[in-house]
Amino acid sequence: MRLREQPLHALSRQANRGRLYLDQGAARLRIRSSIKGFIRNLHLLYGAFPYLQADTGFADHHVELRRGRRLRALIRPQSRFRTDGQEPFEPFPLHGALPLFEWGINWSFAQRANQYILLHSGVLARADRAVIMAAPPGSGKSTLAAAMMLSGFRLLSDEFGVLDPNSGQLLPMLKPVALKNQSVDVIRAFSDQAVIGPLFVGTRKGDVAHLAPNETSTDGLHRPARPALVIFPAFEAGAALDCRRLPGEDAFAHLAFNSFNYHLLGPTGFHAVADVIAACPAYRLRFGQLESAIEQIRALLDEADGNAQGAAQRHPG
Amino acid sequence: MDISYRRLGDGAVIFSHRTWKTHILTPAATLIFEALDEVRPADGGPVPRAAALALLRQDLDVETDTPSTQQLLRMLRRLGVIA
Repeated sequence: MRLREQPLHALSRQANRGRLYLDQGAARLRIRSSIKGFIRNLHLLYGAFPYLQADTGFADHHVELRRGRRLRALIRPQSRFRTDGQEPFEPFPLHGALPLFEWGINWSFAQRANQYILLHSGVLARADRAVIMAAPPGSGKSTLAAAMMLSGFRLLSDEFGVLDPNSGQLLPMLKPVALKNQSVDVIRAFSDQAVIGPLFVGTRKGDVAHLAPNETSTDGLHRPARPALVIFPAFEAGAALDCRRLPGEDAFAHLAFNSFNYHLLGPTGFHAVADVIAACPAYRLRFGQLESAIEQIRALLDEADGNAQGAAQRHPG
Repeated sequence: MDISYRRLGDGAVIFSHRTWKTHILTPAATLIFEALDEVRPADGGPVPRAAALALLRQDLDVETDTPSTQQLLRMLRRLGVIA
């Protein structure tokens, strides 16, 4: 059963009792909240996720979204985020509970999931062959990831490339894609399949709305993907498509030094990132149009798959 | 020499287990590192400085007094590749 098939009032009751669970793949959350607007947004944006019973038990992160108390419940009401006894952020306005939750989860996961290398990247897959998309904020990474999901790729993550150093595979850490400013309308126009939540105006990161992961993505919550291609995208309005192969050592530096926890993991992180770069061609992709960028990524993935198959035939076993 | 070395195409990366720092090697630096690694003493100790400079000048035709080569040599000394 999917979360959206559960009546809203039943989810609200579970959340009120602190027994609403969310499975994001690499992490499971237990949520307590009495903020009805927040639960309504979860119902919409996490609608395709599996519904978990109230007695599910174990969770990696225990989070609470609650209203401000006393006067703050009446005058400029607030939402506050707590995770495992910590309150890492200043309160948000009550209606901003969803972005506060999303950033709070990112913070919690980045603090604690150090059994993995957490690349600062989106990850999408075609037939369990993963494309790692790493770029700084403002480069169009999230918009491109959203458009790729709406074009048939499976979304594993928009924010974290969760690399398991033992298997060398990437795990899903699936959450709604945070679209900022003009990207919201760009994705709305890109596909009528896009399920987009409310627009939160004037947040610290500008105007933000979230794109719900689709069923193709939520059905693969526990299916890892093997790295096949590394892309460093850079959106530039009106730019012609420009795709250049990056030297391995440059790609390594970009991927490792922008990771959330590379510096903590020593040789484990070093070898895991080197394995990715050794196995995957890396490209810098400048684009001005989503469709042509996606077409180029498909072609690069075809080429990488062909090379991988060729190598497997030359060196069987 | 307590390092991990990975060749990635023409360039390479090195991880120092002593400092936990990662070093990026350009293709030219990679050639120099690999040439020095080949002449390391059997006990795994560093290549004597004079021998390293001679190898760079004579075998690899590298000018050893340019700022970039000096910087590379300092890094290789910190890593324990040369004495």
